[in-house]
Amino acid sequence: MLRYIGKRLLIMLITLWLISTLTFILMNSIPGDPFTSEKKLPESTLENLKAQYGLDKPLPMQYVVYMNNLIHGDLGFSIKNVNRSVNDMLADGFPVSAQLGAQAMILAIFAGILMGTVAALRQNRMSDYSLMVLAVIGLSIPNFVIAPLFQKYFGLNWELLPIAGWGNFDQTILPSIALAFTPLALVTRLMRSSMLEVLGQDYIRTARAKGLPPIRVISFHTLRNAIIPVITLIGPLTAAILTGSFVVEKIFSIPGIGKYFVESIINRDYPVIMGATIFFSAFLILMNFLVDLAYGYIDPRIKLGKKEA
Amino acid sequence: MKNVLEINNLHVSFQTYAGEVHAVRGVDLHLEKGETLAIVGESGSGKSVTAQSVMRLIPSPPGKIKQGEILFEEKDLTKVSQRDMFRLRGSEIGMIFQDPMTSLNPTMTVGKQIMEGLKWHQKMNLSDAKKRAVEMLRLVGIPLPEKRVNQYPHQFSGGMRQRAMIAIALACNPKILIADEPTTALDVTIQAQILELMKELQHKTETAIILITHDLGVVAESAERVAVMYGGKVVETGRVEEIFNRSRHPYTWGLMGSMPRLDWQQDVELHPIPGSPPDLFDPPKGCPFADRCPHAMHICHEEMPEETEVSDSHRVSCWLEHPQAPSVSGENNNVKVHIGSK
Ligand SMILES: Nc1ncnc2c1ncn2[C@@H]1O[C@H](COP(=O)(O)OP(=O)(O)OP(=O)(O)O)[C@@H](O)[C@H]1O
Ligand code: SF4
Ligand SMILES: [Mg+2]
Repeated sequence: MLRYIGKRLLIMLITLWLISTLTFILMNSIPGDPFTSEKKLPESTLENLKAQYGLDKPLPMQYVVYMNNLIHGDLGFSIKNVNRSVNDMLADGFPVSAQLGAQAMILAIFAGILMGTVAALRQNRMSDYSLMVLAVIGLSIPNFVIAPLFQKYFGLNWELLPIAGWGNFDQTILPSIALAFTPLALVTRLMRSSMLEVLGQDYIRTARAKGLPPIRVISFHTLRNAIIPVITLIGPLTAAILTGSFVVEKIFSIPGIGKYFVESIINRDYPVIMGATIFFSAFLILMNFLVDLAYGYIDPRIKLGKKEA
Repeated sequence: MKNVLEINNLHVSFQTYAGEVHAVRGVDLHLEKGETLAIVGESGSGKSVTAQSVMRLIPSPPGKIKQGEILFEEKDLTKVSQRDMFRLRGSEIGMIFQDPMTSLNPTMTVGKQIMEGLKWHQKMNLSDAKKRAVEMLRLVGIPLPEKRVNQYPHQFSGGMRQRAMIAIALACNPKILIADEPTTALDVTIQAQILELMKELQHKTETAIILITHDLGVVAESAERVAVMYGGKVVETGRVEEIFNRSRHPYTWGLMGSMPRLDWQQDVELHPIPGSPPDLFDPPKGCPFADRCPHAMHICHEEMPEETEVSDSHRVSCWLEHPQAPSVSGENNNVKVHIGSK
């Protein structure tokens, strides 16, 4: 087990290095630089600015410097927000993004499992059909459409909830739901089909033949087995919620990493782009690792680190 | 009354898109205390549906018990409430299934799966239930039961899983054990062990067994009585030696003729019964075997034969029993089967 974890950590580091290198290359291949703007700066000022951020050096040199700093945990300074270190920005934004993401994730998983279960147990009846229609809607409408609609109806028309900002819990409700929308639909559908499959298994018949009442059969035998595929979905879901948060944070003016990230790209704020990308990647890689660990715990057939299952 | 179970005129149908499947059409069976009754018959003859009706485990919809009664200790199981059925299942009547590889829950330890029934039916506390689970595993011949009780099904071999299934089914000391092809999925040597185990446990616990199988060798080895099913009906029933050596039904003759036998020479050909079983969407009004029966007469296609009592224990439904029918002898007279240890 320890060996397995060690091996995984090593692979995670290599992955991270590849991602940061790729981002570095891609970012520098986009035309323009952080100082491209409407008003022309005098040549000498530009030169100074570039020198200040080390952008005057040749690219391989920049890369080595950046990587060296990165190893020491230093992500550099933002170019647009003068005097703010990228580390600071991430540290500020993270709790906000994490809360939003966690709320969306919890909503998507719990409500999704519940709705999927209900749909499966009421297969081909009214509640099943309605839930499946909802799921298709959830899958086909992107969150940059849902979010403004929520703002218009719940915020402006019915004045139920604040439309933007961050601080109070009620401000988190609309963005969380908007962010959870597609993941929720995914979980619901997966849970439904997984439930149906498990319900048809021989061991469910065995459980019923023991005389266990339906509640027990469902909670002790069906749910646990049906949830396994949903757990594998948590990795991709985290990615979906993470990318979704860029848009949602921007639309609801939430001061999270996603919002910084979007702005940094518009501004070609190189250090912030790099920092945020590396941070997001590290986070995703870590999540996937944790999901694998959880998977091995829930499904005893999976022995982590062993060749055969 | 020495019958632990009595099935009278049972009819079961499935409602499908293509129409109604009459899977079981008027089955009469009884099971005596402590005996083993084998149900044989080719695929689709309604063996499993009959067994599942006793447990009320017919998937419903689409399945439904249309008619008849299943008497267990003076209660009609077709009529008892869901609640009473939950109490009966697993405690009074246990069931094991064909495929031990898929019949155990992969994410629950074997011990827990045995304990579950004990906790639910006998309100045992955790430590008593665990003790009993270990005891059951030892009883079904699983080595190191104290260790095995905490293991998951994937850590068990196929034969051991079927042993574990038997432990689950017998944990609450049921009066009846229904075994639906319990050895079909296992290796021949393991098959013999499992059958041996069932016989041994039956002696200890006096459980009556309904054994569903395709394998007449298994029947000869382990049953006292046999019911031969065809097209949703019991066409012949009797003691093992009556069915094997003095069978009166052409379908049974065919079944015997199509049985592979160890003591046969290589060049002896098997004779599978030609033709296919009746369409259960639109069952024939006469004898279900009429289309394939080499002795079929005009009346066979027109009317269902009445049941004839050959002896106290031997009954057959065939027009050949009618006084006016020509006399035909069973071609299995040369297939003398040595009846097993009993
Ligand atoms: N859930 C179901 N829906 C529709 N028809 C069914 C269902 N279950 C069983 N049947 C039908 O009932 C008939 C009897 O099936 P049953 O399973 O009892 O056969 P069997 O004698 O056990 O055969 P086998 O030896 O293959 O197990 C078959 O024709 C089958 O198609
Ligand atoms: S009733 Fe007729 S068709 Fe049916 S088994 Fe007897 S002889 Fe054959
Ligand atoms: Mg069957």
